[in-house]
Amino acid sequence: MERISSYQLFSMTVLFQVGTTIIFGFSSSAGRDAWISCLISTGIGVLTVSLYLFLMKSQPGLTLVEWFPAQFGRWIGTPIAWMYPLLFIYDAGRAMGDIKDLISVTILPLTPHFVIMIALLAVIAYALYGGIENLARIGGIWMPIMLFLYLIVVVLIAVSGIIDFRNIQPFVDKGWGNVMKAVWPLGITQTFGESIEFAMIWPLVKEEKKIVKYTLVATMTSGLLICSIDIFAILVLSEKYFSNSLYPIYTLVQQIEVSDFIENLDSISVILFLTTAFFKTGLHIFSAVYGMQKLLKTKSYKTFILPVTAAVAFLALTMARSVLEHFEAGLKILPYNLWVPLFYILPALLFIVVAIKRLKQVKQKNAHS
Amino acid sequence: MKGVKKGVCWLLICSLSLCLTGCWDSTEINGIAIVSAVALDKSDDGQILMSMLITNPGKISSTVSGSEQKSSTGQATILLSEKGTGVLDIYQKIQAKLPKVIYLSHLRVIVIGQDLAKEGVSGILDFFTRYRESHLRTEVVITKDKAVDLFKINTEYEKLPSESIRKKTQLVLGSKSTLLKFFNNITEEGIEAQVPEFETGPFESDSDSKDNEKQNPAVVFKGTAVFKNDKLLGFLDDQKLKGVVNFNGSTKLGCITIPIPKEKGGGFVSLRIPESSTNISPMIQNDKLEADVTIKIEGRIFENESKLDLSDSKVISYIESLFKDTLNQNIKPLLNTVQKDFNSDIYGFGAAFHRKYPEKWNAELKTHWDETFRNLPINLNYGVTISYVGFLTKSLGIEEKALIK
Amino acid sequence: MQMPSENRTEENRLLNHNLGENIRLIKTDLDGCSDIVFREFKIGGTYDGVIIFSRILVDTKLIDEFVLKPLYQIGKIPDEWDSKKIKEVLINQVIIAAQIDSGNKLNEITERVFSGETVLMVSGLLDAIYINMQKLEKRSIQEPLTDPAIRGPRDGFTEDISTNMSLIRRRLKTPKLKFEELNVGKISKTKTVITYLKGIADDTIIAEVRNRITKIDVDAILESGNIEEFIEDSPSSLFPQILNTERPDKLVSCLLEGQIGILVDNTPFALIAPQTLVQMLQAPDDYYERHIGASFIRIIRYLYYGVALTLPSLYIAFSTFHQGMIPTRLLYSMAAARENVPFPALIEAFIMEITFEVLREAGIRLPKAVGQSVSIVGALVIGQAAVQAGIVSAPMVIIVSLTGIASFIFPKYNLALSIRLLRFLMMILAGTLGLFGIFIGIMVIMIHMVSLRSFGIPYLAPLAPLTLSSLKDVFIRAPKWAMKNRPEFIVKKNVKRVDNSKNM
Repeated sequence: MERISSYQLFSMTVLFQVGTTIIFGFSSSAGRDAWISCLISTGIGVLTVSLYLFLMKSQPGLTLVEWFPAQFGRWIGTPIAWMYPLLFIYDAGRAMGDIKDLISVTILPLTPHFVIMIALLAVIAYALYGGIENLARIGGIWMPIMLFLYLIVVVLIAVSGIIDFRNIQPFVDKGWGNVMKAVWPLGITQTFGESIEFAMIWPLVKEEKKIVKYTLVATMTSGLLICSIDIFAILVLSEKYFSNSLYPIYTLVQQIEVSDFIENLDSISVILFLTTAFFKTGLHIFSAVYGMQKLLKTKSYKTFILPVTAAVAFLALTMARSVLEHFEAGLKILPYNLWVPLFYILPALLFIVVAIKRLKQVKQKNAHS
Repeated sequence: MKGVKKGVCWLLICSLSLCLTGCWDSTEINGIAIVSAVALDKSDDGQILMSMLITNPGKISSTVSGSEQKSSTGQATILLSEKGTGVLDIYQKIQAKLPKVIYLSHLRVIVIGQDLAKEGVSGILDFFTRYRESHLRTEVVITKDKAVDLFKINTEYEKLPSESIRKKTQLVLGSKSTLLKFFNNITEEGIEAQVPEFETGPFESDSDSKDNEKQNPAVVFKGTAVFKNDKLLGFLDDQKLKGVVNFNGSTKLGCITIPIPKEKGGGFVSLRIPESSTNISPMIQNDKLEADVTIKIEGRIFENESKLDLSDSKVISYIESLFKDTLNQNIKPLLNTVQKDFNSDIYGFGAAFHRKYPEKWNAELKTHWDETFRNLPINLNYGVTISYVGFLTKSLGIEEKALIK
Repeated sequence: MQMPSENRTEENRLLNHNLGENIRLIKTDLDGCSDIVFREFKIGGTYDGVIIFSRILVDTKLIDEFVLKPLYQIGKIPDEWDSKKIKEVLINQVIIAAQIDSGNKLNEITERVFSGETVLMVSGLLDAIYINMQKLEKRSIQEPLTDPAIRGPRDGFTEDISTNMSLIRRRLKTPKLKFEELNVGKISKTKTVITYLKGIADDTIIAEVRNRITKIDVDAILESGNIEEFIEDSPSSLFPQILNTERPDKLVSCLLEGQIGILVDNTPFALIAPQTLVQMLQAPDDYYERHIGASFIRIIRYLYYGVALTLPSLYIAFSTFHQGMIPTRLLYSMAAARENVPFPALIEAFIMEITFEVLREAGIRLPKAVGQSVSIVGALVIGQAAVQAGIVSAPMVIIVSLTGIASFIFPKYNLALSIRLLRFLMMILAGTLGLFGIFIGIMVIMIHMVSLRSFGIPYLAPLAPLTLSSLKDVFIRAPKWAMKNRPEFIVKKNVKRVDNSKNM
């Protein structure tokens, strides 16, 4: 049985949540108030993750795909449970699609997409064949490195003298509606809703008692991290560029210029995005194959890795004809049709069922005594 | 399980060796033509004329052994230009003339000629904000001449005209005039863009050597160009330049000369301004708009041609009051020109109102800001200090009795 | 079927009553071994005796004095003594030797003879008596050549295993220090000793080490490297998972941290297992110098671990993919330097790196006096000439030399070797995919390292999985009094090593 430590859970959660959202500037549609939407999203996100944690606590030892059969019965629960691995495969394809576009637009414009995809996915598959333990350990190593690089970037931005505090005022210029539009549904689904995936991993954590604490702290950390990056992007780029750019954070890093020597660090930022996307995709694929193993009750999930990875590569390469189509699907179609039902409605139903059962139990106990 | 792991290992090795089949994006350093500056002009037949200043590395750093001997002759830069309908079109035409790949990541300066700028520039600059290699840190500069002329300067002392222009902008204006800033000012509500203006001028201002100007011109900072939206309106130069420098809260080269009135002995005192800051605070009282501008300037006396005794603190405060007057004389006409003549809010009074009164701005001010700005009362306040008088108190050449207190 | 007796002759034939027959059998076994001496004589009048020994392994003076002389002086042996009594008297009252032993197997006799013992056989006795009077040629204890340290003990292991054991025993005067002896190799019968501190080392790891060594089935073990290859967890990995050292102090400090040492006869290199990458990057004098300075050196070492791995590939990536990231001025001078170079940067880097590897190998193989001139010719003459001829660019020479120097700072040669190899992989990746390729390469290496284990201990411990308390001895070296506990990822019990309450 593979086991991961609480620190590894923490770092994986942060890396996963920062994931690919950071590339596009979290809720950049809210303009200079993106950071407010981000803070609100984080608040709601923490509540959402608490809901997932409650569900996990109420069904100890069970993974996400086992919750539904356990509560709704085999015939209703299993089909519902099957939707999650499929969604994770699709999400992995999307994350890879994001990365494929980013790399093509920024650092490798002429390299064929499939080369980029195969190279990246082969590494992810290699990591997963070593087991989730491997991925968790690498996460544990990358976490401090990421924080360190983040600090360096912040210091360099400050030293470059490109911050203009006037860019962020006035607050809530276009009204709260504009702010909330970025929160619902995209802001809370893409980063925090997706964290339901960790319900596949929680049963593997060594110290069961620390899961709640570490996950919530990690969620807050990643939320604040994303917010601070948003704030820096707005302070430097100002509203217009921030909300119109495809890759605002990339441009943000590009603005760094220290004494004519440290400049054009944009390629470095691509590598940073790559690492977070690496973990996000890795966890998506792991959750998918692990869920499939649990549902099919086979001996090892490792047999699924290769086919699932291939499916992800196929999805990433064929999902959209252009960057814009890819974006549009991600911003308009996905959240309402897939994410909201799977990340909010179904868990909420589950919560109600669990709560009713609990109440009944309490009543029975009271009746007996 | 071991078999599968081995399989993945092989897959990994195979996919990595796949990489060996081609290096799609690699270009050797000696295969790129590094563009350091771009000049955009309007050609006579109405098309765009773009010139690229490409550096010739071997001629710039000639200390490398091996290529040393051959590099003593030849220019450090090559100038290529072409006409066309758009930037990318011209880019391709220039590329056709070059054996190396045009590389724009090190583009430092974009010079725009006056004629082109008057028709609007956001369209033509779009390429530089969109293209993969170019970046928003590139400086934008305007010239009254043809933009290409700025590149045809004497390169004996400064090998790269682009570096020369860039350094001077920072030295004189104290801040950069980047593409990012330019576009921010264009798009943001309540603020317009201003861009430094350069011209060619002679190194020596001695009028005897007439051909000097043609053979050894230098790039000279002349003033700033005022934009409205993305169109050039006009220039603030000569007289108003002092005001520009003072108002902008700059700079490393800021210096001011204060004339001393006749009754105090005449002459003048000159100060360097190492630090100054400008703060705009908007006010709305009884539906009347008003703006307070506080300019805080620290001056250091480095030249005293008057008979004033600088060891006396009363004299210093007297000079400070004169200092205020001089500033007022410089800045008042500047603001007048900006408000009345150009009616372009380059200092961001509107943006200041937007920040302080967002609801009011969105509701009414936004729509007719131009008119409001034209008649906006601006109160100027100065916080002036003279902190140093140099190495001397009393000037050496003047007798003790002749000093005026 | 007569086969059973035949079978016995092969495997474990016993001695029989007939001394002449025994001698004949042994002589056929030892046919052609000119160093073996059969010295026959009479004991106590009636009994025949023979001593068999190898004259190159045995001190004959001692045999004359303490074996033959007492045997000649024995007088008449009473008739009522049976063979058991005779053996007892010979061992206990006649022969004067500190190490004496007996056995009755024929092929054991040849083994004993070759390991330097003297065999005494007396007619009528079913047992042979083995007397240890070895005379071994040994090197004196010298400074270790491959593990130099600025400060620290100057003694190093030698080829003689008992000397090596004595060097360890001198440092740890406790009965808890155990030496378990095993013979490995069907032909060589190499003496191998597992040493550990009982109560600190993990019993399961000890058992695992013992198990793996006894399982080795090979004709000969010539060096500890042979054993290392047999007992490693992942033999096909590039990274060494077992440390070798010539320094007794290093071995002892590892024993104190719960690791297990393996000493092999005839080599000065002892093995230490389990090992982690972090420990391989620690030099012995880190612990003897002042801790702040030592920490600084250690951080430099980690930094240059990265430099040695990635510097050429970063150069390739930056100069052929991401020229924008090079500061403008630097780009101009790099471009000027490369103006006449005919090769792409990747090929240029390969040429230089391989040339450097050749120079380095040549420097090792040649006699010391010549080795220096190789480096002068190689580094100075070729380097200078290549740049002047415009075959390689000057920046590339700088990069390659820097990388070369960086790979010298590792305390362990085999670790540097893995990095040197991986460097080429990274260069290929950088040459095809730029920084993206480097990212892929680093990830693959990281995943591989993370999945490696050395005797059950993760290779990257205590970094991954993270053990916060053990980080005191990773990037920095905390003072001895602050490292209160032994590394917790290896030692499970008896963790405390410093008691500060008494350290006032």
